[in-house]
Amino acid sequence: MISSLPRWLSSISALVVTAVAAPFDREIVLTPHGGTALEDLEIARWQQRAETAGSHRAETWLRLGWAYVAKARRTSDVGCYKLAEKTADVADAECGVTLESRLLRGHVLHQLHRFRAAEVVARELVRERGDIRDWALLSDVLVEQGRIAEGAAALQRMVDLKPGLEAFSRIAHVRWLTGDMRGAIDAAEQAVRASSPRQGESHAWAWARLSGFYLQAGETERALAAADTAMRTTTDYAPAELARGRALFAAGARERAVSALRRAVELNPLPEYQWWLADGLRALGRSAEAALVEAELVRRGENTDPRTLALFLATRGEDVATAVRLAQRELAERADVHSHDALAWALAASGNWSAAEDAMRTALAAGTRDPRLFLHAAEIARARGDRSAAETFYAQASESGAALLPSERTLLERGRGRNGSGPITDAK
Amino acid sequence: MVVTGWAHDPGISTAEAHLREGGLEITTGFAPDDAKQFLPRTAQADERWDEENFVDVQAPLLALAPRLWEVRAGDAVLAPRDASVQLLPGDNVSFRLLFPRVAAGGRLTLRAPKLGELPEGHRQFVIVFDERGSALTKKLLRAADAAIEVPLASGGGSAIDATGSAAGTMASEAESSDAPTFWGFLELGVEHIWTGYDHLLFLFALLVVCRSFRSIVAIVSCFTVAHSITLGLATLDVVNLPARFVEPAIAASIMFVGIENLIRRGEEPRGRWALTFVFGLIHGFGFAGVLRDLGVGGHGGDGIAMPLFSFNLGVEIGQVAIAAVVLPLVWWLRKREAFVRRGVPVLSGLVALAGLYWLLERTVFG
Repeated sequence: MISSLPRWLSSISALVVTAVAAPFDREIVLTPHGGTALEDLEIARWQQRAETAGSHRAETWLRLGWAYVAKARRTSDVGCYKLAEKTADVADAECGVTLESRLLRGHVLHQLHRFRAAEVVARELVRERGDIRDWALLSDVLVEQGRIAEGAAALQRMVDLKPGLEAFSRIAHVRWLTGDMRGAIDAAEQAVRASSPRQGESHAWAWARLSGFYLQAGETERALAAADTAMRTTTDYAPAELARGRALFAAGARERAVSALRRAVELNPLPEYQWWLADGLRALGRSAEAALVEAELVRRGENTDPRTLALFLATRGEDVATAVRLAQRELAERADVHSHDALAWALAASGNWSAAEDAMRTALAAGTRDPRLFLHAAEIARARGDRSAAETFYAQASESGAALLPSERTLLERGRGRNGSGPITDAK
Repeated sequence: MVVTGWAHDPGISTAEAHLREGGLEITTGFAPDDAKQFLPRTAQADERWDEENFVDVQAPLLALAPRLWEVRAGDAVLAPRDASVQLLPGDNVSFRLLFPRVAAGGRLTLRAPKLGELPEGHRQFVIVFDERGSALTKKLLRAADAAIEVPLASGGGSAIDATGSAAGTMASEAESSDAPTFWGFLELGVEHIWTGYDHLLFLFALLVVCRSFRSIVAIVSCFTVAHSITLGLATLDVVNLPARFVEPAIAASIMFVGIENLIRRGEEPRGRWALTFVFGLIHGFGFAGVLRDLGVGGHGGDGIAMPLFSFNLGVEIGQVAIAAVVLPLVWWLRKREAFVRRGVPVLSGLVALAGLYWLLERTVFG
């Protein structure tokens, strides 16, 4: 409502309007949090400040909200995002709506995958203020919705204001999405150079992401080294453990890979992580353990990451109706390359090859060079009888085969065999 | 940044446990999307629940209600005597469970075993009240840490007893270790005035222009009476103003007094006591915020006399202690003409600037 008002009126209304916090919101965000990690101490510090002298200051509440965000990022505890959102509610109720409280709310909405709502907030922020964090949020939510060109434009505004870790990480992601693998690696390397270990989780994230790019480029040793650096920066960090597990698997160190993947799942039981662990366990012949992990993936996947669950089910050919439903639902909120791919793959699993081909075409339109996309495109093309296109896609998938899940590599080998193609040769 | 997972809102639910003479009553509220997680997937329709279609799911929800809470008094597991579920306005599915009376002494444990069925990261805020409505303990539960313990002290006020004859007080860990006592509230009052630089500066600006002991007594008395009135009224929830009005108003009062001192060139303005009284009323709302943050008040006034009295006493003690140190110095300085002509205006100017700074901080930059 505030966004529709003239700026001067909006500023005044932001001071006057009282958001209504639900009963207990204040108690909820101020309830002692426990834990002794730096993030926990930071939460306790701002809780104490809010309980004593600082309750009238929006800044105090927002610092508490961002402390919850830091905890969520560090531990992948999505509940902390919810607590951050509650803190924004309290800040608005106690001190009136501010641009900073809207930024916190927008960030939480983005992390909880409410991208369209987050976009509304981001657009208000760039219109009324337009600082680097506002443009970053807008860029993120646009890219997540598959509007890469618009996202890139917002990213450019961010870079114009201040090139740094946050900007370079996003540039790397957009370049990767648009098929510029070398450019993505360059930007990701700039991101780690532009940051320092003092930045903790952000620095570790940049290294983990770079590890993924190296792996996809077939540079396994550099991928492993980058993952190790991420782990040294921030211990018990799930994305770093996953990156290390994947790199170790590609290097043939399967036992060590499974240890790292198991740790990643312990830290953050996301379907993507569970799928990697299950595949790793199966590769070691530990099928019973793998089945348990997969059961957990299926049990919780719909809530935690329905898109990956859809891909998992479609790859296994299990409960394909659910896979299609989940992929369609995901696409409605998050129409990016991967959601189109998930829908294509789920439709393919359900035997709807024509619709699958259409969805796959959309998925590939941005030029993303993701081996998973190419594998799915190859399988669909083969089923449609287009052996030539299938062969091209199989070859493209093989170029980055090290980044594929073990089960996907098996699928790739089998598909190539059926298509009459040659064996896989990994990029080195 | 790339988002790797967590599509589902993890949700936060709330539970209020009331230890009453008739038994332990737990009311748990879930957002409908969270409550749907307890139902078979086929029943988890995307449609929004309303009074009409809620009837269809009421029976399965009621069936699971007794399993929402596992209540143990010592080693004994208590079974609920009564359960109900309803859809409340404001999108809240409310489960009410009534357990038998809990024997005094020992330990009461409330565990929420169904949290593991809710989305990853779900939190449940639990708050336990005694029969007077005072909060005993609170905790944020999650699947991995889904229990809250409430030690039951034997003897005391609350009649929460298996036989209904003996009186037992529920005393939580939080109460025994954290909840302030008489001395705790007294100390809090002293601490609040000593670290509340805005209140101190206000008082200083009033006193720095006082020319007689009589006017000092009048000013301090007016401030004390006024802030005691609003502190009491706000704590009893009779009158309340939000912090975002009170805190800027306190800053404005400081600025006003500083500017008035400047205009009067260090002389004591006439009728200062009346102004002090009015501004004192506003400062009292600020003091009340401290008690409110500690959960004092808001329950019909039960059990707030002691905190209110001891906190206010602490404020007065702190005020007198500061005055005892500052006033002799001010009197000594006021004997010097140069201080009255130049020092007082300079100090008043600084006070006004500090007030302006706080005013901006609490409004424009807040």
